[in-house]
Amino acid sequence: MADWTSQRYWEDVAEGDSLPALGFPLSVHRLIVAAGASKDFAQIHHNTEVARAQGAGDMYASNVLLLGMWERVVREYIGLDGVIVRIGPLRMKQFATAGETVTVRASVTRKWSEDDRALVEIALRSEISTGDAVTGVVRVALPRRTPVAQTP
Amino acid sequence: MGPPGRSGQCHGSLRRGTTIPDFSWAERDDWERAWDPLVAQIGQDFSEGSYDALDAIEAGAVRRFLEPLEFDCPLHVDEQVAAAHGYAGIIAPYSGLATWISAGLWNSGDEPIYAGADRNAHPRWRVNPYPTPGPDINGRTATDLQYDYVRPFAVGDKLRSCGRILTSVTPKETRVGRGAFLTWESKVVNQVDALIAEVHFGVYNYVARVRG
Repeated sequence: MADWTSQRYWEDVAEGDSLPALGFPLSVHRLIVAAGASKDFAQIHHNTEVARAQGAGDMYASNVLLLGMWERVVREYIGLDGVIVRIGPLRMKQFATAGETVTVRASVTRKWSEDDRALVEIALRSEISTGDAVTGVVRVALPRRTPVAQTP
Repeated sequence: MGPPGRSGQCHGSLRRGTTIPDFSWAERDDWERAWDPLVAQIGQDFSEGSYDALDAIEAGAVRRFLEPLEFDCPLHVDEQVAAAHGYAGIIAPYSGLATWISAGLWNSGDEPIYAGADRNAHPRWRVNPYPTPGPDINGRTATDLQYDYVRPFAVGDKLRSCGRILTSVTPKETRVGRGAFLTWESKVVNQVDALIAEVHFGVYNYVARVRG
């Protein structure tokens, strides 16, 4: 589990840095718990027959569950004082079905300041056995070790 | 987090009607033309207003959201930690925005929604968060997403989803069937009409190819 007592600062981050990868095995149980928790009761996410009738191989993870995986990876990196500014744009590329393990990999692609905010863009990929299921970016704001002097 | 005072004032309701589906358009050689009327409606707001989340954000709902993620961030479970980091209370996970604006399945006063014992019967949506204009379809899946967050949302907040503006329609045949990629824009406000997030959402609406 993550160490929530440490805080990452904007100055600590460099473009190209990798975030720790996390794996999320997708059992039927997990998908159904996620459907209930997210209130996403579209049957493609909990009913194999319906998912297959719609062209998928099996019931598959919802976008809310997949985004949640990204949020965990990002939050564990940015710490409690980091702020998620934007999730996306992201593209769902294939179904992450029951029986797959989703491995979220992420790296820092951009670091900049804007309107006194210290921003970082993180590229993420949710991999399954047949390739990328989701690709996209998340933008975050991090605290600075040294506050920027305010203009009078 | 963002310009104070940005407001998303919106009112009204969104409800879905019923239709008898006709999927024959997907069998025609000129199947793309079935989407022409919808292409002509790009820019239109299909929402008929707004809808409120059925429930305010609750601590128990937030905790349950974390379970399948095995996500132990204390901002989402510990009020004192959240306060120490500048929040008014336990904040809800950002990725769950669609959850926190859920209109629910059934509420007191609604008609029954479980009318039959068909194994795969799906109740009619109480409020369909994403209307399905265009030719009839039997498959839909999320394809694209962008949430721009203006401020966090915390336990006790009651959110409202405003507007559904159609921004693009792109007919395309894929390995799962024939249909069109649709993109939508909407926004989410809280109980005092302060803007929470702007939402860009894409779906693929299609008639499924029979799996051989």
